[in-house]
Amino acid sequence: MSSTSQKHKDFVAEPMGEKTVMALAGIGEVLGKRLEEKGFDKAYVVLGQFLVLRKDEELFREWLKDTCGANTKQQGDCYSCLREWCDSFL
Amino acid sequence: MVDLGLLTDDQLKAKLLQYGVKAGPIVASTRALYEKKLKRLMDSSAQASQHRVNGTRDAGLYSDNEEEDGREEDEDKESSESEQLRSDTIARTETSKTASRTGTVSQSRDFYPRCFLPSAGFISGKIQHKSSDATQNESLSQSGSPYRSFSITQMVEEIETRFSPQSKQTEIERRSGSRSKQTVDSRVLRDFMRLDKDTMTGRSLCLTSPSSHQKLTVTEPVTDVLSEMFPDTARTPTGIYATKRRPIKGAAGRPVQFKYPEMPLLSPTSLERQEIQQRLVPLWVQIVVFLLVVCMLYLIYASMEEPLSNTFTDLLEDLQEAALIFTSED
Repeated sequence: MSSTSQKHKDFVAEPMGEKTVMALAGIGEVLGKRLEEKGFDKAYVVLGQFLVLRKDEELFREWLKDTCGANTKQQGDCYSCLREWCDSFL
Repeated sequence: MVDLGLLTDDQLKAKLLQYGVKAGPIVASTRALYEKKLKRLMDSSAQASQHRVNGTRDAGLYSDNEEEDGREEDEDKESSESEQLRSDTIARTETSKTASRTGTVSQSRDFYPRCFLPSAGFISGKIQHKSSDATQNESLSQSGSPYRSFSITQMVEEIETRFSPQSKQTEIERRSGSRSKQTVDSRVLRDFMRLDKDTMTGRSLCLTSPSSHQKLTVTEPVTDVLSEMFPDTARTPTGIYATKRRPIKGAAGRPVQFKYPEMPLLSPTSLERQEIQQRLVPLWVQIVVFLLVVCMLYLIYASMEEPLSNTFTDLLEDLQEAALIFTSED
């Protein structure tokens, strides 16, 4: 079982509100910029995409890869971050 | 080949459903993904119909770039597959999948990590009919009284089969047959724990299975050291003895009084100190006795006719003599 990063813990601890995409685990400066260019400027927009994909892991991972070029680890971090957030707050 | 871009959203969804994929809403952002997925499904099914080679699928399942069709099919057919074991790799992906869901527990291979997979095929056939309590090592701590009757022997069997599936098989049946008549708890756990120790030294059990069987029976008379040390403690099924720890005062801002009102607030050491302070003889009596003894000794010393000599008195006497001699010489 891999341990979660501090970013993950911070994100999952509270409602995301108006946090930027950079607040998501696995999404740093570079990926965040790319997502913002595509129109996903807030974390909740990415959440929207996650939910539209019915929280499916593979589809979401693929979408992340296609949209911002995230590698496997980043995809996994973002996915688990969002999933855990949904488990707590959705 | 149908151009997937020409399909309407509904048609795309229907096509995905043909492959058993329950797609979500096909909107602008998701359409591309679903088209890709459908394309992959169609390609893989075309490939599969041409040549059934397990290896390619396995390679696809292993790789990081998503070769999802194999996994997608597994995800949707897992209920039908629950009784068969097609291949180790598919079982592995199922393991990863079902770990995330609250899947039916009859699939015992859910609980076996990848490193143990070679024996998973062996175990799944053996254990499938048993109940869900026999999970991995963690269940050892949970084996309370309701599970005692069968899960411990089950776990021992699992551990043994895991390390040497072929050689141990008959032994387990022999041992379980003999054991079922006896009470299970501590002896089985000792064997279990001994097995753990043994396996840490490089699976010696596999090689020396008949000798270890004798060894276990020979060393049975050796009693548990802990039970000798603490004969008063009640036996627990897991062999783990735990006492309630004194709570850390003020931990997480919670004052101890409110959290554990029934516990004594003082530590054991301060309680001991309190006990010591309650002496048999009160303090003032001891001081009076001490003073009496001092007085008595002084009186005895004072009543002596000749004072005791020590080096200081000798020195004083010498000085006095010297002074007398000086004054008498004048």
